[in-house]
Amino acid sequence: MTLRARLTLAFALFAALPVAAALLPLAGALSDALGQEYRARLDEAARAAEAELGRLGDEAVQAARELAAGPELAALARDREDGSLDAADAAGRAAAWMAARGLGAAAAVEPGGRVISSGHLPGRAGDVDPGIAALLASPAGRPLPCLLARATPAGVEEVLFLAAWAPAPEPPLRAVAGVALDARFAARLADLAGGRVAVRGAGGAELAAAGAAGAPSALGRLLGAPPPQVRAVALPAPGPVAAAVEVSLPATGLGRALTGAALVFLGALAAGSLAASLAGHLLARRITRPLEALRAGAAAVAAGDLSARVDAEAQGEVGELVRAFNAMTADLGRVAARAAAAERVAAWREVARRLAHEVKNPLTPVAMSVETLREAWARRRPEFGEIFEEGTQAIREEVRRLARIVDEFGRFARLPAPELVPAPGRELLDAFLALYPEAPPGITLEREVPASLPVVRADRDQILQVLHNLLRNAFEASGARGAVRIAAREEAGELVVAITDGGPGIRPEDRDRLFEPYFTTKEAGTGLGLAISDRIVREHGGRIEVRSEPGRGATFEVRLPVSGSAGP
Amino acid sequence: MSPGRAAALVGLLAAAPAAAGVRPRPGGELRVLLPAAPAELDPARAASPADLVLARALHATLLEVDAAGELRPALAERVTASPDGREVLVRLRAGLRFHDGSPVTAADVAESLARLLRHGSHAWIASAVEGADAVRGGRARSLAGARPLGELEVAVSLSRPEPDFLRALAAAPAAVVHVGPGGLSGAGPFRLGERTADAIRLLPFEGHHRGRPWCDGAVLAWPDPAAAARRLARGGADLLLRPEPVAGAAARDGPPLLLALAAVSPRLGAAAGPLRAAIAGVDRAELARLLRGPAIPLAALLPQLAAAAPVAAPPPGPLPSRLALVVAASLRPLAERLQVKLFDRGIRAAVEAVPDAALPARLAAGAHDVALLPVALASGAPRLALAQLAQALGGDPLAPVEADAAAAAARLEEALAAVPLAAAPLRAAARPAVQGLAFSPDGGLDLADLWFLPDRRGAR
Repeated sequence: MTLRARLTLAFALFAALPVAAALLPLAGALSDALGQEYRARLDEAARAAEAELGRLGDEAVQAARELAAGPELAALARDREDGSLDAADAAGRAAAWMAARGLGAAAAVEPGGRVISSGHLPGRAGDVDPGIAALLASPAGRPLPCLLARATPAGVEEVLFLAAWAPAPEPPLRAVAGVALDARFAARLADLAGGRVAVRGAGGAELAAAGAAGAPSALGRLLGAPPPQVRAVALPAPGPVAAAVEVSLPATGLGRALTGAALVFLGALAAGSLAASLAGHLLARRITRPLEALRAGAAAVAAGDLSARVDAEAQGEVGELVRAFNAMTADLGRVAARAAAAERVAAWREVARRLAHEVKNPLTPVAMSVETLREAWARRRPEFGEIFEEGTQAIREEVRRLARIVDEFGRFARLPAPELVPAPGRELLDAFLALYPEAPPGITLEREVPASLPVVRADRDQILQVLHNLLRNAFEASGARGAVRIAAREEAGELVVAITDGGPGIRPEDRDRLFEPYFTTKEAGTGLGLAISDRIVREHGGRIEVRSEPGRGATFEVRLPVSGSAGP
Repeated sequence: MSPGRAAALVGLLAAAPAAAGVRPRPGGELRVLLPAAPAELDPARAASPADLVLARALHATLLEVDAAGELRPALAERVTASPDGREVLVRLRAGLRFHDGSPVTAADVAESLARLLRHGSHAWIASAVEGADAVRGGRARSLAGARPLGELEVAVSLSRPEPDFLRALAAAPAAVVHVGPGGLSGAGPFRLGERTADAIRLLPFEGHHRGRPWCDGAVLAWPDPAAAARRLARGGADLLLRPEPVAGAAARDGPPLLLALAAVSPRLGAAAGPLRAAIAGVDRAELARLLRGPAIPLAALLPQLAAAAPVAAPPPGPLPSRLALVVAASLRPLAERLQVKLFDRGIRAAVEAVPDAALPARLAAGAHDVALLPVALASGAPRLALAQLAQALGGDPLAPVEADAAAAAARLEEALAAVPLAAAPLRAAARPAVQGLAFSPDGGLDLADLWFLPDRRGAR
């Protein structure tokens, strides 16, 4: 990790830690406050449910008393007495009483609980209804929880009722009335309370329920939001069954409040950390910029750029370091300049030595021929004519050699820049090989050129000159007898032309100097042929590679980068 | 009780079945209150007790059942059968006419038999006639086995021995009708007069084979039970035909007419058998209590059917926990009782009550587990009643019914998965002035037989 990154991270942590440490205590305080308000609302909802149950109980008692004293029950009793009560007609009479009073249950029963007419379960007429029988065992005129079966479109179901009974004056019949504490009741109460209402019977079995209590989210619970709480409102007892109505309110609001607060804190945490990170980054940047500049400068020097300078402004130790670095690179530059100047002088000396050597060699035979001519002329030697002829011939030969030496040097100095154009490899090789329809006597020339070779960007004449030089060297290395092989191929994005001879090979100590100007192992060589060839190939973006073992010939490979698709 | 009502009831209680020594006299309009509105004028489609009462008033059959339960000629002058009972020759009375004036012919007899197979719910009457399957299947319009021999004679060939065939011809749905340009016409003692939403007026038919009815006409209405009782008590009606009793009114019960059946759908699969056993295990005498009127357990109606009904041991298999119980609205109290009894057995039955007239279509839809349906029996003969029940339960109306009625009842109960629950008669309560009130043994009540005492006729 870089110094700048470490500094940025450290700033962010310093900013985040205090905010994070404040989160949990604040969440706890908020949870306590909201919890108190939640419990107060729950108590209020429970009181409302209790009041509603009281009202319904009063309604059931009042309805039972009205039925007991009303004309309908009297008519039923009368018809029953005189035998005109049709069973089918009687069974459902109570349904009309029930509908008229908005009750959930209404029945006319005998004192033992045998049903004469039932509005909530007409088919029970003629039987003892166990639920009603249990109700009749309790005092009259009291609303009590009572489990009764009732008929619904989906079938008969057992429902908890808040029911009451009242005795009819004469004959001794009983009127039963009740309101159902069913799902509809629970839904109505749940709507009023804004939470969940459950009706529970014996053993806590849930008989009806509606609404949702809504538990807080996992994050809310983590922050201290309590699960939904329940308030139970017990129904009057002792009754036929023990029952209670439970009210609960959703705690999701509490959870949401805590979660919201937590999110605000987390947002502040994130914003603070971000701001601290930014500040840390800017500060770290100010500190590390000179160091990074020094690192870049050192890398430039290592790459050979002795002119590299560090321009960063810095104070103190880092400033001293920058100044020392710049002084060091300045010294290195001066030393390198002096070394280059010395090298140039040495190179000119070598050129002068070579040039003197090359010029000196032809001058000696010229001087000797002139002396011979002068001596033969002075002695008036009879064979002067022949001597003259031989002497001038030799002088002319050496002068021509001098001219060639001068010409070679001039060409090396004036070698023009190549004009690169797309040149199909096959055409290039064909043009080259056309110059050599046959090899010199005694030498076998092998050609291995595939039909398709890639296109290169090349100055056609210069490349032909290079190949020319290499082939001529190969012929010369092969001597009177031997074999020379020309092979072309595409390899690794390069056009490779290899010229191999079977000559004596290249001595290891000569190999590194092969392409130096004026280096030659041939008696009549100028030492410029390979130097020129190497320069041409390099100016084409390629290179010449040499493989050779002493006594086993040599291979010169010209490698030019491919520029396009293969030509025919 | 109000003094007026008490006086009326005293009058009703004083009514006698017939005034001894007083000869019937014509005159007066008979006001009849039916248990429900008649839904059909076509006897071949008559389904309810009210339909059957109207069919007997408007139409006439070839034969009739007399008070002793014996067959007597009606439209037919003579009916003779071959020794094996498979060839029946019917000769019509000469000169009879339908209400539209057209003569009663042998062709009308043959066509009326074919109509039973083509249209009605009483194909069981003509099921033994040769060619019944072709007519029932729509491949023929007329019966091959009913051949008019001239204007007044028709030969009927049966494809199998049917000992109750002649008794079937006496059933009200087997009435001979004429389908003319003006519609359906009968030859009963009354012809159709004015028809409104709550009443039907009948006019006397002079051409009836027994002559003009005693009354100058009849008005049929169908108020609710309480209103009907009030009208009878206050003298606003002469005859009340309802199943339930009327407080303080003397009444005469006909033979059982309405049968309640529980049909268990085969869609219940393996649970159908145990469920049938559970339904059969319900106290059916108590269920009968919930049929309106003095309903009776089935044993009193068809001993053979009741004998076959009890299921000794329920077949193995689980009882369904829920089921859909489709019921005719007239049987709702009975269905509610059955619902409670099934609930006591752990079965939750959802009851859906549909109008009686809509019940066949509802049952044809098949979306039910158990159906409670009423069948108004058109004949008191046990085998014929079983044949009618088989058709009502969706069985093959052309299937032969065993000669042994008990075996037929067992097969019906098994094949159609039906449990007969209870039966109820039609009860007649009449004002004292009404005379001649008598049910025939097959449940029929002929309004043409009723007459008013001369001194009471004008006392309405």
